[in-house]
Order: sequence, then structure tokens, then C-alpha cells
Amino acid sequence: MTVHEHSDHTVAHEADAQTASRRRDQLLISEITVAFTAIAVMLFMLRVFGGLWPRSFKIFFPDSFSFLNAARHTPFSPAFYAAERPIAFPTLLFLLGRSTALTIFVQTALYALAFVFAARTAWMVLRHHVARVAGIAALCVLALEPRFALWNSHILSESIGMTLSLMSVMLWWRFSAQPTVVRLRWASLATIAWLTARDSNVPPWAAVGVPALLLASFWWRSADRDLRLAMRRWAVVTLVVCLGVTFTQAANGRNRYATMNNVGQRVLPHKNLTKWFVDQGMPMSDALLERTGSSSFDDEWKMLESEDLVEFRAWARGPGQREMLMSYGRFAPHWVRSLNADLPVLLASTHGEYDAFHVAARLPKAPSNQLGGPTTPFGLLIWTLAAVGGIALAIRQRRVQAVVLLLLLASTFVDLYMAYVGDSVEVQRHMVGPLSRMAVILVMCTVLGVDSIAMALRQRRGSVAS
Amino acid sequence: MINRYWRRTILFITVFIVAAFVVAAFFDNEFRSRSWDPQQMRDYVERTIRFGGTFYENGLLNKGPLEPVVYRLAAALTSWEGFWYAISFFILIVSGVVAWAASRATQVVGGHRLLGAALGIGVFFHFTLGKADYAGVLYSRNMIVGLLAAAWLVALAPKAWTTERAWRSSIVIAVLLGLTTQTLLVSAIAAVAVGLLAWSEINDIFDDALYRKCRRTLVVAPALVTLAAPVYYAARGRFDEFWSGWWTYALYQNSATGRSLANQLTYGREVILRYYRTWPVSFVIVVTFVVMTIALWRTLERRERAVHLSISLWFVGAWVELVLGQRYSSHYFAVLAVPTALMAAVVVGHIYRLVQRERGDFRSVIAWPLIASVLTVAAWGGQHLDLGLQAASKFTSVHQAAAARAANTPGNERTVRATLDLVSQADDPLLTWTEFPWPYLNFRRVSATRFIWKSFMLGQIYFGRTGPQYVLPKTWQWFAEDMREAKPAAFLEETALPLTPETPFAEYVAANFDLAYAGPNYNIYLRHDQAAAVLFGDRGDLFSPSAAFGDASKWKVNAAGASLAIDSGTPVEDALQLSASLCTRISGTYLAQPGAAGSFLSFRFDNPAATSHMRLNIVDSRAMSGSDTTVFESVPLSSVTSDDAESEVTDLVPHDFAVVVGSMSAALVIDGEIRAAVRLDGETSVSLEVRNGGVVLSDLHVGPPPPNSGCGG
Repeated sequence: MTVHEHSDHTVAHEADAQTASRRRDQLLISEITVAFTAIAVMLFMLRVFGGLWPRSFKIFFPDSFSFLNAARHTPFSPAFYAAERPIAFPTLLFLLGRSTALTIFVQTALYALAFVFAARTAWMVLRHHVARVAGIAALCVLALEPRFALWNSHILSESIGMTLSLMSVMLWWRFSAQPTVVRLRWASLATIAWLTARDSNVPPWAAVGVPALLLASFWWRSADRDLRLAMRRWAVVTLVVCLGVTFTQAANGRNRYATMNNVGQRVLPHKNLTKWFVDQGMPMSDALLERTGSSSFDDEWKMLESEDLVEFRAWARGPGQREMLMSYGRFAPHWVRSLNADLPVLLASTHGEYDAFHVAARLPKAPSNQLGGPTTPFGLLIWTLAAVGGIALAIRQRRVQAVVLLLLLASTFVDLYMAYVGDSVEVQRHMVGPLSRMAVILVMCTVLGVDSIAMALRQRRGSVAS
Repeated sequence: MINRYWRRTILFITVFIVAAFVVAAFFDNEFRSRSWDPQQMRDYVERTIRFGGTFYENGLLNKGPLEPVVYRLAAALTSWEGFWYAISFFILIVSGVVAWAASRATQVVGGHRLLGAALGIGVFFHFTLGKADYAGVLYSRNMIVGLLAAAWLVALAPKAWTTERAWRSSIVIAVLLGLTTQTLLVSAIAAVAVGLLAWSEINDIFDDALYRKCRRTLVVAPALVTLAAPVYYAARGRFDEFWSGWWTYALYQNSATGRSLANQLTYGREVILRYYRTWPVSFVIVVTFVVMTIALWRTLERRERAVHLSISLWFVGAWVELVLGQRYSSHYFAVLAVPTALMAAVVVGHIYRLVQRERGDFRSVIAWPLIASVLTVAAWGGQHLDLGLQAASKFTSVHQAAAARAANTPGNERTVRATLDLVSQADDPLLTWTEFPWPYLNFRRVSATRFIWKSFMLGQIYFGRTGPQYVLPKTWQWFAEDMREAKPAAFLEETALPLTPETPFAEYVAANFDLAYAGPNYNIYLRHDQAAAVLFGDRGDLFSPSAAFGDASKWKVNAAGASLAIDSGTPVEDALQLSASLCTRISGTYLAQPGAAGSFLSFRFDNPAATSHMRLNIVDSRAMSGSDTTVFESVPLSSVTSDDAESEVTDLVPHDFAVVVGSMSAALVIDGEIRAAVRLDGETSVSLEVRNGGVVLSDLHVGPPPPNSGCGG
């Protein structure tokens, strides 16, 4: 062996040793991170349960029983798929034997793990440590927000809805950072799961997601053919799921409650709206006028049981639902004004009236400076400006990410609008999912902007130095 | 190789569960650690903080100073309310060290690192959340096993015996072993067992000078550390106090059982047989270990042999300690549990090595700690785990947790604490005649004398005989010195344990105290001056109260008096305002005038920041303390009346009364006796409500509060 060969061998050896050592260090760091995450998840669950688990979580919401009834059909029966609830949460209940204790444990764990996944995604997608840390910190704040976390203590679809929404959003973010067929598949699957969690999730996806996928599959020239084909395929599949959820929920008649609630509380108080609905075939009567300002459940279910409203109920069960849907577009300015008027209350709500198990008292107080998502219309404006600014900053360097986040952002406003107009009863509860999704997406857009600025500064510093 | 995602998932779940163990143990043991001896130790430490001096001047200690030092450290690191959290943290440390020692034992004989971790998890759970009485507490024996386990770990540490570190390791081991024997002399055999292991380890040191130095250290230093305590106290001039507790009282405990050595051994044999009949798993572990030791002896390396020998001797030492201790209290068995755990660790390690040689590595080893953690809960029960997790999930602050517990204080204890607060402050001395360590802590006082229990002064030996020969020689001299120093303002007598007459203690009480409150559970005596101030006091000036409703009131207020007609129909809010501030003494005469529903007078203490009130009530012929919703304690108006809570005797005679209000509490004195007392928390004014019947108040005076009631001046 020559001196040169010997020297080459030594250098190669040292390089191998360094690689192995680096790999060991990385493995150790990743295991330490996993360990700390496990501790964090355990502490979060501990505080949510508050010593009440497993025995003291009693169910008392009528909706909880409706989910349990849906689960009782079991996925092996066709009735399961057309029951009064979309299938995601009843499926979870079925898998867990309809056990309240188990369901609360599992949905809380899934909620926490979804945020862990979100934090990991932020770490992977963002490039600068400042943006990564800011993004993960903001996600932690959102996870701990009592107004979101308290829903883990109820047998309702809010928790699993937020979890699946978060998973879906994060998987789209991953896809946007590195668009591959595999990532598209995971994102689409998560979206399908989210669509089957609550029927109100369908409009934002049908209005934004499906068209966006279809348009991209035709016009995104730089994407390879397989990806474009896959996008087309998943657009169709998710559209079918949207239709499936819509039709099964329409078939079981549950939407008639929302229609009747809206007529009583939002249509009848307005003459113009009432006239339009009458023109579209809504049977008008003195008995119906008497219901002005009331929901279908008020006055001992009068709207649901009065002999004088048989015709109205038939309308609400059938064409009324379609007319109501049409009105959301036809009278959009009116509904937006109405939403705008109610927004301060909706954003500021802590959902304390739903916090039967005092989860909020055991979690850190929600930050008062809008850090846990917008809680006032002004906060929403600032967050939106920051998010749009973030997208604008990223658009040159990370076009796909910027476009996908912009679409997600747009979908949150559709989500917010639809959740508001969809039913006049328990509006605050219906807003939980859209608001948590909106908060996450606003954070993502904003930290993407921070990342873009930080990276640009780093590059500039690098070029000056060189 | 197992997929890295599976590896991380398993790691995640394992850490999740073990972290839950740690959190649960911390919060559960905060409560569980308040056992008998720990409370005794805290009494000594609190007294030392109050009066200064050595631990042996502040309590009768029959062990070395390590235990009070650890408890003193807990007091130094935390607040009064947070004390037991520090102790709980120390329990975690001790249990962690013992678990680590078991884990190391597995690895030393060839067990996989993760098998060791699995075993360690089991041992940790057993010592922190297990059902055994020695789990979740910090008695001296728990400290001893912690010290021995730490020495064991150092002895087996991979780099402990390098040329640079060998002597340092020897010193550390020697100090740990010395502290063990200093704490409890009967633990010497166990200390020798661990010392032998260290001795075996230094055999590989090639440098002869270093070898000799280490050997010398391992032999001499433990003895020096053991002797350091008597030498230190002799140097401080407190040898008598130290020796009385550490040696003389320990001798009393040994001899007072009346058993000869042969009898002790015979009794020990019976206990051993009974023990292993009750705990057959322990028996299987011991037998397997012995069989394995014999069977594998020839194949074992020198180090492994030393480990086997050390554990065997430690195990024998533990039984010797228990047999010579003679008491077999359930928490003593910690000394036996550790060598047994080490035996199990070694057995498991050997089995792993034997099987691994035959079939190669196990792919499932990554999951063993997880399996161990689940099996541990299944095997030993999750009761304390559950309690700990519940406590952890509700915890918001140390103060809040203490307040929640205080809210559940029994009424009789509330009365005592409120009365004590009128004559002394927190951490002031209290004289009691008791068998228990908790009165001092429950009432947040320190013992006026170093003899916190009557048994020390009566020569009653725990699980032994009673007699004057077991009263330490200088007991009454030290008692007198303590009284001169402490000048206790109050003496507390438990009605179930009346003061033994014709003792210097009884004479001191008779000469210095007056009975102020006689209740169903406690009698409170106040020092003459304090009793005079509280029961009779400076009556001050005549005064006329005002009515809350002013002119609309149905109260008739006159000079130094007021009255409300029977069933006047006025709402209870139409109260008579007696004082707009605390720190006062309102006295006079009242004549209750029962109506259709009897008589109900309520002295109400108002808190501007809260809607509820504290109250001292006179209901027919009973006095009560309480709040708007709860009666804390109810006693007859006079202590000489028979206490029949069911009878509602109409009271138609006038009574002298005084409402004595300090800064922290108030008491209702009727005819020269305290009949009810309540602690105040933010209340600022006093008024009188008549809820049933009517009342005539006369000769009303307002005077100053008792001098030590926290009102200053």
C-alpha cells in the first residue's frame, strides 16, 4: 500500500466514522424528542381529564345519544351510512365499543397527536429555525386553547372533526412543499376522513378543493403526468364523497331541523326573505308566522309537532332544503352582514357553557393577545392580513405552497360562512371546527411568511459575506 | 431490525406510561408520605427551625442525623405548604436509584440493556406506587436502601475504577456506607455486603499503591463517617442529647421487648416462614437465585461471583436487621425488598443470557420496557397510580391544594386552631399530651418540648414494655429547660388521652394553665395570662351598636344595649352591627327569647370579597361554629351540660358573653368558657343576626383583643 492509498483509506474511514457518529446523534436527538413529546401528550391528557377519567364523564347532550345510536347500527349495516350522523365519529364509537371512557381517551390522544404531527410538519416544511420555533409554539398554544380542547371531553364529533381537519390541512401543506403522488394520496385520504366527520365540512371542499384539484390537473404544466392524473382522480373521489355525505344526510331527514330553525329564526323576521321563500313555494300560514323568532325545538317542539304546520314540514323535508341552500348564494350579502354582526360574539366565545367537566380551569388560560387565534373581528382582520402577507412573501420562492395555503385560507372563510348560515341553533358550537381550522391555517400562512423573510435575510447575509 | 417507526411508537408509548408513573407518584406520595415517622421527623425539624440547636436537642432521635438533615433540606427548599412535595421528590430519587441498581444488576450478568430498563420500571413502580407500606414514603430505612443502592451503582459503574477515578469512587462508596451505618447501626451487615462488592472491583487496579489506598478507604472511611456523628455532637457540647437518643434509647427499644437473643432468633424464624407463606413470589425468587448461584458458580466470572455474594450477604443482613430490630413493622421491609429485587434482576439477566446464547437476539426487546410497565400495573394494582393521576390532573398550585385540604378540616380541629390563633402565631410552641405526631402539624405549631409524645415521658416503648426504667435519665431536666425556653401559651389535651397525673408534666400544666375550652375531642388550656385576656379580658368602654337598616330597623338600640322582639318578622339582613373591623372584644349579657322555631343568634363575620360568611352561632342551648352552609362544630352552651345534640333545650337565662376577635380567628366566650371558635379568611366586620326568636342585649362593652391574637400593639 502506498502512502497515498493509506492516507485515502484513513480519510475514508474517518468520513465513515463521522457519518455513523452523526447518525447516532440524530437518532438520539430524535428519540429524546419522541420522549419529550410523549411526556407533553401525557400531561395534556392528564389536564383534560382532570381526575374525572374514566368514570365521571357522563353524556347528556342529545346529540351524543344520536352519535351512539348511529354507531349502534354498525358499519355492516346500510343504515349506518344513512344514519343521522356522518360516519367518521360513529365509526370511532363502533371501534371502541361505544365506550364513553375509551372514546374520550382515544379522541383526546388523537387530538394531541394531530398537533404533534402538525408540529413535525412545521419543522419539516419550514426552513429557518426562527419560523420553525414560532410555528411550533403557535401550534402548541392552539392545542392548549381551552375553547378547542374542552371538546375532547364530550361524545360529540367536534374533537374528531378538529383532529381530522388538522391532519388534512397538514398533509396538504406537506404535499405543497413536495408534491408527489404519495403525499397527494395521504392528503386526499385525510380530507375524505374529515369530510365524513361533519356534513358542514362538505361545502368548503366542494367549493374550493375539488375545483382547485381539477384545474391544477389540467393547467399545472410543470407537474408530471402521473401527479396530474392522480389529482384528477382524487378530485373525483372526494367529490363523490361530498355527494355521498350530502345525499345520505339529506335522505335521513336531519337537515329539516336546520331548515326549520333557519326559517323560524332568520327568515320569518325579514319580510323580503320571507317573500322570496314564499315565492319559491314555502307554504305560508298564520301558524308559521306565529313561529317567528323560534327554532324547531322551542315551545315544546311546536314547529315539529303542530297539526297546522304539516305542509310546512313536508316542504322543509324536501324542496325547502334546496331553497335554503340557494338562498345562501342568492342572499349572500344579507347573510354576510348577519355573520358580521354576530362575529364579535362568535369569535369571543370561550364555549364555557359547554365546559361541563371544567377543562378550561385545568389548562393554561387562553392568551389574551390573539395568539391563540382571532377572538375579535379586529384580530381576525390582523391575522388575515398577516396570513395574506405571508403568502405574498412566499409566492416567489415557494409558489405551490403559497397557492395551496391561499386555497386553504379561502376555504376557511367558506367554512366559516357555511357553519354560520347552516343552522341558527347552537351556532357557537358549529363554529368550533371552522374556527380551529381557520386558526391553524392563519398560523401556517403567517409562519411561512416569517420563514420566507428569515431565509431571504440569511441568503442576503450569505451573499454579502461571500 | 425493527422498523424505526415501530421503534419510535413503542418508545413513545413507553415514555407516556412511565412519565404517568412518575407524575402520579409525585402527586400521590405528596399525601402518602405523611406517614407516622415522617411527621415525627418534620415535628423535630420544625422545632429545630423555631428554637435552633441540634436535632437531638429538639427531639428524641434513635437514628443518625441523616434523616432529619434530609427533612431539613425539604423545609429549606420549599414553603410550609410545599414541604411534602419535596419529600415526594426525594422519594422519586431514592426509588429511581434503587430501580437503576436493579437495572444495572441485570446488565452485569449479561442481560440486555432494555431488559434492565424493564426490570427497573417494575422496581420503580413497586417503590413509588406499590401497595407495600414501605412504598411512597421516606422512612430512615428507605434512605438506607437508597444509600446502599447508590453505593452499589458506583461500585458497578463502568468507569468507576479507572486510575483517575478509583480513589474518588472509593471515597463516595465509603461515605454512602458510613452514612448507612450511622443512620442505623443494625444495617452494618448490608453495608459490608455492598462494601465487599466494591472491594472485589478494586481488585483489577494494577497500581499497587492506588489499590492499597482504595482498600484502606473502603475499610476506614465508613467507620470514620459513622463515628463522625458522636464526635461532632461531642464537639458541640451536645453529646448527652445525642447519645441519649442514638444509643441509650435504641438500647431501651432492644431490651424492652424482654426477649433474649435466642428468643429473638426463634421468633425471627417464625416470622420468616410466615413472610414467605404470604409472599410466595419472593420465596420463588430467593430459591431460584440460590439454585442459580450454585448451578452457575463455576461458570461465573469473578465480578459476577462478587455480585452474587454481595446480594446474598445483603439479603442475610436485611433479615438480621429485621430480626434484631424485633418489630417487623411493615415499612421496615424495604430493607428486604431491595436485595430481593436485585436477586430477581440477576436471575432474569442470567435467563436472558442463557436463552440468547441459544437463539440469538430478540427482536422484541424494544417492547420489553413497555410490556413491563403494563404488567407492573396489572400485577401490583393501579390504585395509587389512579389517585396520583387524579391529584396531578386537578393540581393548580401548592397553595390551592393546601386550601382544598384545609376546607375539609374536621370541626373540632378548626375550633382548636382558631383558639390557638387567638393566643399565639403559626410556628409558636404548643404543649400537648399526645401519642401522635400530627397535632403540631395540623395546628401549625411546634412542640413546646423535645418529647413530642407522652410515651417518652412515661417510659412506654413501642412494641415493648412500659416503666420508669425506660425514661431517659435527663428527661425532666430537659423538659423543664424546654418549658423555660418555649413558654407555651396553650396546652392541648386529647380527651381520649387524659393527662397522666403526678408527673412533672401534669404539675407544670396545673401550675401554669387554665381550662379555656372543653370539647368532645380536645380540651384547650391557656396560660394564665392568656386565659385571663381571652375569657375575661379588658372589657373596655360601654358602646351602642347600630342597625344595618337604620331607622327602618326593628332593632331597638339603647345605651349599651339592644333588643329585637320575638319573631319580629324583620329579615335576617336587618343585622346589628357590632364592629366594622377585626381585633376587638365585644362583651355583654344576652337573653335569648325563643320564638315558635326556637332561638337562633348568629355572630356573622363579613368578607367584602366573598358572599359567604363565617359564623359563631347560639342555637337554643348549643354553640356552633361554621359558615353559611356548614356547621363545623356544635357543643352545649356549657361544658358541664351533658352533650346531647338531639335535644333542643330552651335556654331562658341570661348569659355573659364575649366575641373575641383576633386578626386570624374569633371565639365565642359564654359564661367564662370558650364554646365556639372559627378561623377568619378575609372577613373584616362583625354583626349579629337573629334568625329565630328575639334577643335582649345589655351591658355591651367594646375592649381590646388578646395581646397575642395577631393584632399588633
